[in-house]
Amino acid sequence: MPSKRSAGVSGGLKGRDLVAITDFTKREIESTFAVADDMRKYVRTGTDLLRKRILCSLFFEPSTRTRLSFETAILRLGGSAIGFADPSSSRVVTGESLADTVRMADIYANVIVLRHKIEGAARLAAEVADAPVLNGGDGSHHHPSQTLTDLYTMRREFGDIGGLKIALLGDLRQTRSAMSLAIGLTMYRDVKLFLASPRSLKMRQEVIDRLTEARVDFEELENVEDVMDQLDVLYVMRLQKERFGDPAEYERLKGSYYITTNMLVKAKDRMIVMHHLPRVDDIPLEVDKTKHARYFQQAANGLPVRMALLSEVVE
Amino acid sequence: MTSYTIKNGFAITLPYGGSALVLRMMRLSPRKVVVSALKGGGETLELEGVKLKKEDFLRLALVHSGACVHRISNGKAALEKTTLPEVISGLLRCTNPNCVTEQPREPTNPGFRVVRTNPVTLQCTYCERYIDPKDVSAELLGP
Repeated sequence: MPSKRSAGVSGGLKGRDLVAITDFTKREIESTFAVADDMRKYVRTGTDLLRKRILCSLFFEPSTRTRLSFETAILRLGGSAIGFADPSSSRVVTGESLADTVRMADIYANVIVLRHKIEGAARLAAEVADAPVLNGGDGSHHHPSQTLTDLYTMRREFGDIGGLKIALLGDLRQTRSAMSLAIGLTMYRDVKLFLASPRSLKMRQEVIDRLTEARVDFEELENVEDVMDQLDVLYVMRLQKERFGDPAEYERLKGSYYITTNMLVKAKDRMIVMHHLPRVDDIPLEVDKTKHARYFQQAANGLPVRMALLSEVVE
Repeated sequence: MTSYTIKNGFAITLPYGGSALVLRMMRLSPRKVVVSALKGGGETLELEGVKLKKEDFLRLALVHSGACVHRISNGKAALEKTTLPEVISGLLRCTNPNCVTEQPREPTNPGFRVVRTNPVTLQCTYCERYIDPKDVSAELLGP
């Protein structure tokens, strides 16, 4: 088994983990996007770039897009997928540790994709596995392949992410896609970030400090309508019911941060609405028909992005 | 130059006081303890006949970032460094129950990056959550 490379070591991304978006440099992210552009022609027909390579997906939490797009990506690249979408079908139910489960996956696979409710689980997996570990989401912490998809979507829409005015709306405290994207945006110049959330769901101080250190121009607010006319991107985050300790708190807040077509009247023509999906109470169906809706294209972009990611890291 | 009562040991200057807590946290058994009040609420804690280990300096720097330590040998004082390293391991546990380091059967090496020194702000290297300075003190003081 080849030994794992560290970030910054020459030789590209082969063998590298992606636990947090900052495990890749901006240049490496942009080069992955260039590969994703190339991959678009293979999303239906496929290629044999990763023939005989095996992806193992270990999903300890539910997933639709992340797991299916990673598994489709390896199949479209000519490889195969193994793993589980439900840990009850594995030895985890008998008490096998995460580290031992990952060690077994490492024997069989060329790359491991892990989703787990425990924060730091992917970092541990990366420590114990020789194969590259791609974090498919760990608790409320990181979700770097979602961030790659989000940044790629903005790049395709606007050409350049630098200079965009972006609002993140909803549960910014417990949504890993929000934290990951905010950190990812620190790599781009002149981004203006609006962090719109109820007070109890504000972005964590750890992320606020990183934005400050990176000198990102950001503003925390409660009502996104106040800045709607300025925005290039409105990114709506679902309230994470499964991460609320108090169900009454979820019931109190759910639906309080949904958007409507009326709210979009003030938006710029080219403003796009993004969402990591699934949506629940946050985006009504009528928004789908507006010129602003991009969440389904965003989800579709996840496939060429993950094909690019796999083709870059798998040896 | 400050003069000390003890002949051999350590003198710790605490700008905001708190010598009782320091004694409890460092779990030392000095032959003699002298506490003197300083102007502005500070204290000097003199400990006769003890040796401070690297871990003791770390504990002190974590709880009293402004503390100043002198080694006293035959009545002569020499300043000791009490700076914090970039990453601290072995002394603390993460306060996030959903952190992988808090899962008893997982082979982790818990560590904490020092984000700020005054007040001391630590960040878990796995879950990246900050540990509240009050929790750092409570963790080091023990039950």
